[in-house]
Amino acid sequence: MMRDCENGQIRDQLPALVHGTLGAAEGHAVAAHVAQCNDCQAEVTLLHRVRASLDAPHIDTAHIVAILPLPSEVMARTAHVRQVRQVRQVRQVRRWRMAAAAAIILAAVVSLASLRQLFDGGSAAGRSASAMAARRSEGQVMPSIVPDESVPVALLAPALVSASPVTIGAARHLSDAQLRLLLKEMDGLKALPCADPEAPHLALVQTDSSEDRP
Amino acid sequence: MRVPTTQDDAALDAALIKRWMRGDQRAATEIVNRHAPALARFAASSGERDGVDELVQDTFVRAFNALDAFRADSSLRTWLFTILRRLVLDRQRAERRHGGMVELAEDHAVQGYNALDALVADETAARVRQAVQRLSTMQRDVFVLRVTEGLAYADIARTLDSTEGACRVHYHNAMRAVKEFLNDA
Ligand SMILES: [Zn+2]
Repeated sequence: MMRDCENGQIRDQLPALVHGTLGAAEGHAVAAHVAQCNDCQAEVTLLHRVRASLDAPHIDTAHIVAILPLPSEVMARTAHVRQVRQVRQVRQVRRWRMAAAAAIILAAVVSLASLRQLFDGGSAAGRSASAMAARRSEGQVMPSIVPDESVPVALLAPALVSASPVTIGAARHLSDAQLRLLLKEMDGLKALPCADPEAPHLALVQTDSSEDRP
Repeated sequence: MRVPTTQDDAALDAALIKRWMRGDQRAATEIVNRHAPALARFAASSGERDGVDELVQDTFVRAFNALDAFRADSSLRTWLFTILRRLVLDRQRAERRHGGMVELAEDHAVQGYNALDALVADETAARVRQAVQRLSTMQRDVFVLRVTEGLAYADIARTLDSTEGACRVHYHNAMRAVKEFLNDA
C-alpha cells in the first residue's frame, strides 16, 4: 500500500531528483529527506518504474534525417518570406502616404473654397438683400460658410472653384470697412455652435442682413 | 561523473543548430538522435502508438523547416514537444471527425500496449502503462513530461499551453490516481 508523504514540497521535487535536475543545495536537502522517509522512497521507486515502463518505441532516426530539409533551403525560404514582408511593408507605407497626400489636398481645396466663399460673402455684404435673393434664385453658391450637409463636399467643391474668378475679383476690391466687417463675421463664425446644423445658417444670414445696412 | 544540466542541454542544442545552419548535416543527425526517443515516448503515451513514427517524423520536419527562426527562449526539446502535441491534437480531432471518439483512441492505445505486453511478458510494466492510460489527457501529458522527461513545470505549462499551478495540480492528481490503480491491482 503506497501512501503520500505529508511533505508536499518534497514530493513535488521527487521527479526532478530522479532526473538529477535539482540544484546542489536543493538536491542534498531532498535526498536527505528521502533517506529517512519510507513514503518518499516508495514514490521514488514508483517514479523509476514509470520511467522504465514508458519506454520509447523504436524510431528510424536515419529515415527522419533523410527527409529533413537542407539548411540552405530553409534559409532561402526564410529570406524570401522576409523579402515579401518587406515589399508589403513598403507598399503599405506608400499607400498611407498617398492617402495622406490626398487628404491634405482635399482639405486644402475645401478650406480654399470656404475662404473664397467667405470673401464672396463679404463683398456681397455691400450689395442689397434683393441682389442676394436674386443670386440665390440663380442657384449660385450662398455666402454661408456653414456646410450644407445635404450637399456632399465633393459636389460642392467644383461649384465653388468655378465661382472663384468672380469671388477673387470681388475680394480684391474690398474696402477697409468691408474687410473689417468680414473679419467680424469670421469671429462670429467661430463662436457659433456647430452641434445644430440649422442654427448657424440662420445666424449668419441674420448677421449678414443686419450689418448690411449702413 | 557530473550530471548534465538543462543549461548544458540548451547550449549543446544551440551549438548543433548553429552547425546545421552552416551546412553540417551530421548536426541534424545528432539533434534527431538526442530528441527522438523522448518524442516517441510522449507520442506513445498520448495514445498514438500506431502512428508514433509518423508523428515524430512530422515533428522534426516542421521543426527543421523553422529552425533558423528558433529562439533559445525555450529549450529545443520543449519546443519539439509543443509541435508534437499540436500534431497529436490535430490527429485526434481528425479521428473524431471521422466518427471515432478520443475514448476509442485511448482504448485502442491500451490494447496496443496489452498486445506488446503479451510479448514482453512484463506484468508490472503493463500495469503501470495501464494506470497511465487511464488518466485524463491533461493529467497524462503532465505526468509523462514530468516523470519520464523530467521537465520543469514552467516548460510543461509552455508545452501544454497551461499554467505552472494547473500543471502542478494535474501532476499530483495523476500520481494519486496511478498509486490507487496500482494499490487496487
Ligand atoms: Zn517524505
